[in-house]
Amino acid sequence: MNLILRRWKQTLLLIILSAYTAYSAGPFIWVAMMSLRTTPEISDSPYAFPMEFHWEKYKIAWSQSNYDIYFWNSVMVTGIAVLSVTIIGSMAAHCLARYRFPGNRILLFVIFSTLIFPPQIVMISLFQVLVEYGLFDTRSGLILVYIALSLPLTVFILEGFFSRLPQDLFDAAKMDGYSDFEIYWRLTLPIGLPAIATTVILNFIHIWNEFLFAVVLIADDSKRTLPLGIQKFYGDRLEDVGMIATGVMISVIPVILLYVFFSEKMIRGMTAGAVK
Amino acid sequence: MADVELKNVCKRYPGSQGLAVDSLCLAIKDGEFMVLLGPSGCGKSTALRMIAGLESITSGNLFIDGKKMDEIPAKNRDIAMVFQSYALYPHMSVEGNLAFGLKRRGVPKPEIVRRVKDVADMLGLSEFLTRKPYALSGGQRQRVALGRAIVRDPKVFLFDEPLSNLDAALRVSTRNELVKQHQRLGATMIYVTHDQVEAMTMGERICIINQGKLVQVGEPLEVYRNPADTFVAKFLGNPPTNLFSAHLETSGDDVAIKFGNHAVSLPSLDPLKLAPYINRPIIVGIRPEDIFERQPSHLKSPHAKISAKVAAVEALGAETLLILDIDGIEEVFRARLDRNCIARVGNKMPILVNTDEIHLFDPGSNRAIDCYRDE
Amino acid sequence: MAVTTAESEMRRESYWAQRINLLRLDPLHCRWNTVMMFLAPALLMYTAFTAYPVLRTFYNSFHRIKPGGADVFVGLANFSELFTRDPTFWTAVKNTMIWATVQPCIEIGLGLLLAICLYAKVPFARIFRVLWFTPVLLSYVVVGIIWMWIYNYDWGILNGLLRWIGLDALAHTWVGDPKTALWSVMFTQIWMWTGFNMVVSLAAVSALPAEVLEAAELDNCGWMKKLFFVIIPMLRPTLLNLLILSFMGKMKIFDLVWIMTGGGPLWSTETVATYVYKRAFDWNTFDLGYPSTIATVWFAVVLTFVLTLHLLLRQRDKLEY
Repeated sequence: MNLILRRWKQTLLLIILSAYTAYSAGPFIWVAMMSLRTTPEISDSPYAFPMEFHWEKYKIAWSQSNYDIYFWNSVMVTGIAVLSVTIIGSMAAHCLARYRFPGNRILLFVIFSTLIFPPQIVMISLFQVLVEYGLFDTRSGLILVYIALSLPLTVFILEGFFSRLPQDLFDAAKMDGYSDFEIYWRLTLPIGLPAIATTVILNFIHIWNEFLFAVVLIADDSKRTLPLGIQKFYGDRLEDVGMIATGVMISVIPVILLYVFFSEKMIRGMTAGAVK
Repeated sequence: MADVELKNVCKRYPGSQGLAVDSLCLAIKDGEFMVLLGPSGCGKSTALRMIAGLESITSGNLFIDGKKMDEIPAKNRDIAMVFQSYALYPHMSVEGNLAFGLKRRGVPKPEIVRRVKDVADMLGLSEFLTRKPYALSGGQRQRVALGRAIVRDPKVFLFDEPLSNLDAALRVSTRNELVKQHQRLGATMIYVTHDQVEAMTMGERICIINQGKLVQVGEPLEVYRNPADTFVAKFLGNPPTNLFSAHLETSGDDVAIKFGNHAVSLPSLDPLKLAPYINRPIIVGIRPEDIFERQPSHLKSPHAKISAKVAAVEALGAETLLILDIDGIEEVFRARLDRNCIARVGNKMPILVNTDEIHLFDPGSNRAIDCYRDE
Repeated sequence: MAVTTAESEMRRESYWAQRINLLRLDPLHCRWNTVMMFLAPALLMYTAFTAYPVLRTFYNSFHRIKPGGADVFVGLANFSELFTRDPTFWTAVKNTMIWATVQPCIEIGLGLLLAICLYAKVPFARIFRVLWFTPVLLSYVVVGIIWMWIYNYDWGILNGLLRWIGLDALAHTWVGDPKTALWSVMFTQIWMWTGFNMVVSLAAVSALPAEVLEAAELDNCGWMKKLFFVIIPMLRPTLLNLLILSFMGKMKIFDLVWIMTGGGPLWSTETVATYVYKRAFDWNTFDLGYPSTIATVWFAVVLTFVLTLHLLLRQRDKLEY
């Protein structure tokens, strides 16, 4: 009897959880389906499975609606920003974790406290700064801003990890004649790879999807990143649901692809620091 | 109080080839202190957890007080367990920890207060009632874990290596405390450990488990004196029993074991019982304490003289351990002699072996052979 | 007894010289050159793009800033206008506060429940975990568009579902009605973030010592009792972390609102973030001073809340078992 009750409870639980999964993944699947149907088809029956797979819509979105430009802008901006912040952040984290000097603690505190700042506090003045230095409406300006925005979290995570590495390792390296920079390059970076991977994933997702600062600091269509591009597309062609869906899918597919291969790493990376 | 019976209990973990517990049959009497003894990974903790209901039983049956308990969830079995890591609730005070189980069972409040106070007094915890676990020492936490079990007045107490996280001195005093509690409460207690000293001093009966199988059950001294197989002979006793291979032969009315250039006659052994093993190799077990330098005055049993050379000396003060080189024995051979023994490495030293305490084991199954003459 | 002249010499060494001594680093340990080499780029970025802008925003909040013109110092005029003559600001504050207090509770509660379900070894647990986390990876723009379609009155899934099961009357212009707009957008965000909370809770629950949970099992606790009396108290640090993270996220919410409703209809979804943006870049009087004032005030508010939350709810004792 007990066994039957347990089976029933388990089945009920499974049903509830599957319902939640449908709720969770459903919208996404709907958009995926819509991306392969033309708008007239969608108007007829919004939820139907695509009869014909209109793969050419992807080509149209890519070439005719500037999606290729938006995509490459995103790739460039995200790539350079993530690379730069990783290098700059890891250098700073290494220094703060390994060396004792007056102001070490204060610096750490200051950097960590920036994590709580709402972006509005710098939004307007960054706009002013970029305009004054001629970096407004440039990808370089956006990249610099992204680097600065990602630094606190990167340093936070990396410093935490680096400071837990045993000091003996570094003492041995020093006795073996490594210079300070070599110690960083050949010791800290390779050993710290898991934490660095975490920050790379986190920063990548944040910057790829970043919208607020892109909206404020970019005006010209040729420099738009994907989130901006989609928004413009949506605004311009509100009724062309089919095309918008395709555009949305284009921006989402790279992330989903990465997720399929690296789901565990990405989940761990993005939730790092939240578990205590 | 209740008796516990395991009938052919087996446990297989999903995905693993072998059985963690293999056809365990054990009957624990009401009020008994039974120790499950064995090396790490032998399945004793698994068996304990199956009794508790924390692991499911793959096949076989578990009876507590005659009732079948296989499918009943742990919380309804009325069993209390003291964990190796104490498992105290870190966010509750000592008082909270003690009272928690009673509260969840709906015991009326005044009764809870009374019971908690009684147990706290009994274990010397009264002054710590408001402290949280992190503010207690290891020994104090252990007592709280014990108190938590006692206060529930369960049918059976289970202990999962509770002393292994304590330092040596604390271990001795806590051991005595546990034995005292058992005598006070008269409860059925099942105690798992890998430490033979704990087993020998605390258990009314000990049960040796190896690789999931029950090897021997009995009173401690009985198991020690008459090991059921080579594993028990080697596991119990420190230093362990010396085991070596020899050739069994008859010599007149008696049997004798031949190894190297030694032939040791064993008059107390019955040739009839050993008939299948005559003229075949056999495993011999001699405990280090059954070896003497000269004839001890109080021992009237027969002795055999064996020539040996001293390979190493460990003078411990209260006794002296020797490692001996004996012709015909390749394995390490240890002797435990009294503190007056003067031996130097390299000395030739004939030793006397008490032939009434020699054990013989079947070389194929490693099980002990019942070989002594009936008196 | 008698103090030697050498000692008294050292004591008379000036206070400042002693202080400067502290700045001297042990050359065997590290040099200032080295430290600077590692820190300089980060410090530069931080100063130029974070520290200076923050200070500049403070500066802005006391001025009126017009394009092409000089900054006009107005003292506390912006602040007084903000507090006394700006009802839109207060609506935005109200919306944001509702959002930041209600939503974290729902998403963390739901996330924790789902984590417990997975922890109880439901089959397919690993697949569920991966699927439920997916919304976290999407950009707010994408999420906003998808849910605008779901909420669409004519052909959105939500109304379609309601009509399908016969509850036609409940079909609504979810995002178009001021009464339901805020809750609709909130619901969307819950959809996004519950997965995140679930994953973190699951990791935290899995890290709990199994023996304490087993002890609770033997103390006659079923799943509900275990949850309330043992699991949640022991998860307090993690849950607090999630709460602060979630709270901070909602206090600065912009992207989702911008895409879905732009702050409308009728300011019902206006948040402080969208209001600041509008005042700065979308207003007929182009003045960067006033929105800076809003940003400064909001900055102080967020800081106060986060500090208070942390001080109030933190775990004072160590959770050692």
